[in-house]
Amino acid sequence: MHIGVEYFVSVSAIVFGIGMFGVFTRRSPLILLLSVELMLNSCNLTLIAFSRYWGDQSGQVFALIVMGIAASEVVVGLGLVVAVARRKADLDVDRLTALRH
Amino acid sequence: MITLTVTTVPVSWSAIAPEIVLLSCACVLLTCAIFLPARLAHPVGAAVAAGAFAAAMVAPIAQWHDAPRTAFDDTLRIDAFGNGARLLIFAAGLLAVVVAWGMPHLFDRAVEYHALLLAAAAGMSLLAVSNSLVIAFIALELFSIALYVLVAIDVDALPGLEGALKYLIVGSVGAAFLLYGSALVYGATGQFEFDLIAQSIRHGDAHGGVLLLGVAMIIVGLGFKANSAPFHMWTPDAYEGAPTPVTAFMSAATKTVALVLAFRVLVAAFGEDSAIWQDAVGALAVASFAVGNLAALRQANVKRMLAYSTIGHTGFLFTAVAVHTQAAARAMFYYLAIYSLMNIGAFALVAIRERELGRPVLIDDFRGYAYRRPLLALSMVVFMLSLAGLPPMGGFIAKITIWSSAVDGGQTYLAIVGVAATLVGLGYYLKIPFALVDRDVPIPESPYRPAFAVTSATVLATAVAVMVLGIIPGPLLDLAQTASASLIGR
Repeated sequence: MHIGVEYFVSVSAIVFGIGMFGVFTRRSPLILLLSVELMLNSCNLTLIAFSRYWGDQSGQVFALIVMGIAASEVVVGLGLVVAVARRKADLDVDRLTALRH
Repeated sequence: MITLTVTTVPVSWSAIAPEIVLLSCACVLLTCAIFLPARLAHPVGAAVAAGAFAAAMVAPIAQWHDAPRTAFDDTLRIDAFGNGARLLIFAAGLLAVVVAWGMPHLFDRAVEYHALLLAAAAGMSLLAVSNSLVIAFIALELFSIALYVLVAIDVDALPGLEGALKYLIVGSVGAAFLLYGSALVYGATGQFEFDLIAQSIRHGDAHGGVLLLGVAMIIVGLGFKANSAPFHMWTPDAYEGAPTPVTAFMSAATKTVALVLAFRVLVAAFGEDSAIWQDAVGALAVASFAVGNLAALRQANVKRMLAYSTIGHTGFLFTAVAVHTQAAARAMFYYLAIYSLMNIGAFALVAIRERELGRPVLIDDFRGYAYRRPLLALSMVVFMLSLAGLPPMGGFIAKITIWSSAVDGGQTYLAIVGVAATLVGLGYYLKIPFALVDRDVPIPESPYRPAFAVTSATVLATAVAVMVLGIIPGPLLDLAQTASASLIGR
């Protein structure tokens, strides 16, 4: 089956745009991380589409590398979110003990 | 009998010697951390990190006069331009180790701090010599992820966590822009290596529209990493929230590597089409001049003021990228060296004051400081005059060389905006020297805590270096000349 490369690029551009919109409008760190993932994955789609278009494997290899890097980035991001959440939770617990006395 | 062999890409160990040293030391450090008693963690961490940075400097110095060569199937380009950037990064790393010496709240995580510092420097070092969009992205993320963790290394401090989270999200958006731009350039040319992209463009094989969009998105991504306005919003928060030694390292090394990458990718890959990006980079420079200097005027917190001032300095560095002649590359190199020294020195001084006070430092906290620690106050005056670009400091020569290259390169408007920005800059840089000699502040009777000998010595050494390199700029300019000639033959 032959599908024009422009369809893939259009879809990836739309996904990238959705991710960018999310980053600029949302305030929850989790949604922001999600939006960044959308942007990175749209890049992967573009890379793979162009890789098939040029008949060259390096784009696909790059997409795999990007997946690995994106995963490690999210690990750090979620770790930071958890650290912030835990600190705020600590504060709440303190307030509870203060009320008891 | 059939012997089975596998043909790999040509391997050149000497090309990646600094990265091997830094990453293996980071791994050894993290592994040994399990067995190290807590009180040895900081001395051992600092010793290993300092040793690794010193050892990593050997290869770039040994290869300094070698002709440029590519390695690993054209994905790396080892030249004096990249090696010079590597040396600046390792020097910044070494200073970050020294500045952090004796920081009480780093004691718990001393090993992690030094290991992450080594990993970040390894990523930056690889980025400095990368000749391919793939390697550039991997190296960029290697150092960025290490820096995200470094900003939050003090996990009990909420400002650090918030700064790290903002830095991570905005930094990842920047990386996504760079990646999308790389993907589009790959789509337009079918190549990732800078010289092959240039070749494809020269032969007219590239798709114009896709290429244009790709270059635009790469510039946006570089703008995020080089904290240029209007992509600077993470800078003040991350710089203020991070422990001060991390801020010092980030401000110097990240800027160096982002600018070196910007110069290399734009000149090596898209040098033929400079008309399409020259004005865009010039516009970013003007925006950085305006936002950085005007916002810095309003800051009371010294770290935040210096953070905005780094945005203003991006304006000068992007001026050099927009001009992109050999003279501009030389000016950029000299600027980066001086900028690294004076910024690390200034942040180290802020770290000392922070330890004395036990809280974030305001400009008012420097009032009357000259009567308590005259040498440190004198160093602060040197840093501020140099950042402001006044003679006889290094910052003055740095700005002059950038302006003269801009005028020679036909970008006179950038030189004019730069002069205006420098005049505005006097308004906030000079606040600190005036505060230092303020006599109206009562000197507290409480005994001063002992001076922080190692950090103070670093501050004095960088101050002397900034001044000496300003009075005798010749040798450093010669080195910058070698570096720039290895990238551009003009």
